[in-house]
Amino acid sequence: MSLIYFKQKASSFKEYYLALFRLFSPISKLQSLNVRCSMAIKEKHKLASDWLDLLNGLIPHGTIVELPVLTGSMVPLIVPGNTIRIMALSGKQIRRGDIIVFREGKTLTTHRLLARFTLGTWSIIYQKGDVNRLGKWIHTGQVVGMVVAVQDKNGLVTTISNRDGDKKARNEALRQLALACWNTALLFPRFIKNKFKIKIHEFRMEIGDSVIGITCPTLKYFKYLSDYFSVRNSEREPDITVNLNFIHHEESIEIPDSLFTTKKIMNNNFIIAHGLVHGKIGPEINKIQLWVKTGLAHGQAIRVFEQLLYQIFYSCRKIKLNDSLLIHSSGVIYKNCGFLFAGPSGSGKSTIASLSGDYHVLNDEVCLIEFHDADITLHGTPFNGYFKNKMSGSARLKAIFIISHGRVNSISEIKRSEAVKQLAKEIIPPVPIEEHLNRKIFIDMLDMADRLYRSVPIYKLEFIPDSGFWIEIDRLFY
Amino acid sequence: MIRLDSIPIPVNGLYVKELGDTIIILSDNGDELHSLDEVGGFIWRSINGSSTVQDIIVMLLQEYDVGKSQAEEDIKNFLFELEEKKLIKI
Repeated sequence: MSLIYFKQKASSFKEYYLALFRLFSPISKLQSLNVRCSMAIKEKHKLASDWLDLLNGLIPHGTIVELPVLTGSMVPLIVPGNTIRIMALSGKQIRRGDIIVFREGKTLTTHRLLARFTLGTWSIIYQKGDVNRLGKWIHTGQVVGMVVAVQDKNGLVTTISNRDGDKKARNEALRQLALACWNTALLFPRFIKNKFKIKIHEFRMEIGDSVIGITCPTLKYFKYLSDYFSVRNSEREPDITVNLNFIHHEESIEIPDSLFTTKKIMNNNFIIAHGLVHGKIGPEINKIQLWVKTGLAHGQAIRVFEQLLYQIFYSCRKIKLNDSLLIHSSGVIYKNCGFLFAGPSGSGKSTIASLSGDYHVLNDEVCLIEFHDADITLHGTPFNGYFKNKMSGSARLKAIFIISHGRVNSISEIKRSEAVKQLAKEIIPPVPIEEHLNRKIFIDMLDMADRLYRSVPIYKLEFIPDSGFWIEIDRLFY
Repeated sequence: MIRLDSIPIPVNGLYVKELGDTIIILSDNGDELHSLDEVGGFIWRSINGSSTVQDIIVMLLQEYDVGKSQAEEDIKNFLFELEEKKLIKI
């Protein structure tokens, strides 16, 4: 269970607040907004400073701090949205069964202590979240506190006792320990299997509802690609798997701008950009073999390589019969709603993202829109622009802005035909990897754009490089 | 040469989408996207395979405040352009 409250790394907290104050201080005509926001900031600030102090071991032992919980690894004992009371203490004072809070890099985690091993002054403990299959050994020195009570959303406080002869917590710890041992034993056959098999490295990319499994026989490229896409491996089974092979070459090769237009297809085989990429579908419809010249996975070329993944995503969408599209845009979640900023390169997508660092930035290059019966949702993707702190997530799509740099921040209405033409240009052509880019695809893009126009408010946003455009958006919607 | 009794016919296989007062036409081979404004759209809608150029001029004169010779010239130019872009046959 992670306790990072704002999902920001601790090192950027200071910048985060500075940016927030910068955002609101120069506006004198919006005083009420100003006051409301600075109060919110104070409230957040206290939480953040407690969090930071606890992380850095600055809270005197015995003092209790309260922090909200965001994740569910200790369900049902602690549910996301609960507040926990943590007593700061050192690792020496804890025992089996305690719900401990410990530091791991720059995050705080709350798990149950299952076992402890001490050798002289050196001491390690085995901890696990109640819902996790396996635990992990950590140094006792990483412990910063112990949970003494949990407060639910209604304010009801339950104390957690592992002292005064109450055996409940210790018994639970033993049960969890037995579970972890059993799960470890279950891993053993897989371990043996992996030892004697040629190791295939797989990462699973989640793009909205779809999961693309990519296997890569070379560790070097596997690491490079999974790092580049900062893939948090999906736990879901892949809907489509891509077996990615790299072909080394001596000669220098030309990387085209587009991997959409130069595709040649014969039966289940396809060749892109005169052999830069070739591949085939099969044996099943959701298995793709790809051979890619290594030049396409280096430096800037990887941005072109991403176009293969767009097409694979669309293959996946076809198999799953999903109603969705990828669009060149910057996506931000603000007040629990999704806002999409679309425009050609140079229109300021990354600028918008970096000016929205206070909010939940999904992506500054490519976002996913999913159509559902009742609403339309906006999702982040693993694809990369220039903004580095993108976060995964999704929200109901509230509005789309077609952006351009201007001399003031201003939002204006846009004609249907104009909106559709501009948006259609930014939709990534919905071409499955095994199909040609054809006229029907353009029609689909226009129809998709028009559908967006009819379902979501679309505006033109001219902005100057400062986060004041959020105030204009606030005025429009809140 | 476009004559007044010529009958313009839309080419088969075009994709036509009306977006408010604008009409978008995607060419047969999918290479070109044309966009017609309000007046262009009005004329496009009048091209139905049975109206002659003369009929279209009359319809335009009823709808818009424009001189007859001016309308005739504009429509001829417009139809010429549509034919050149392979959107209609005359």
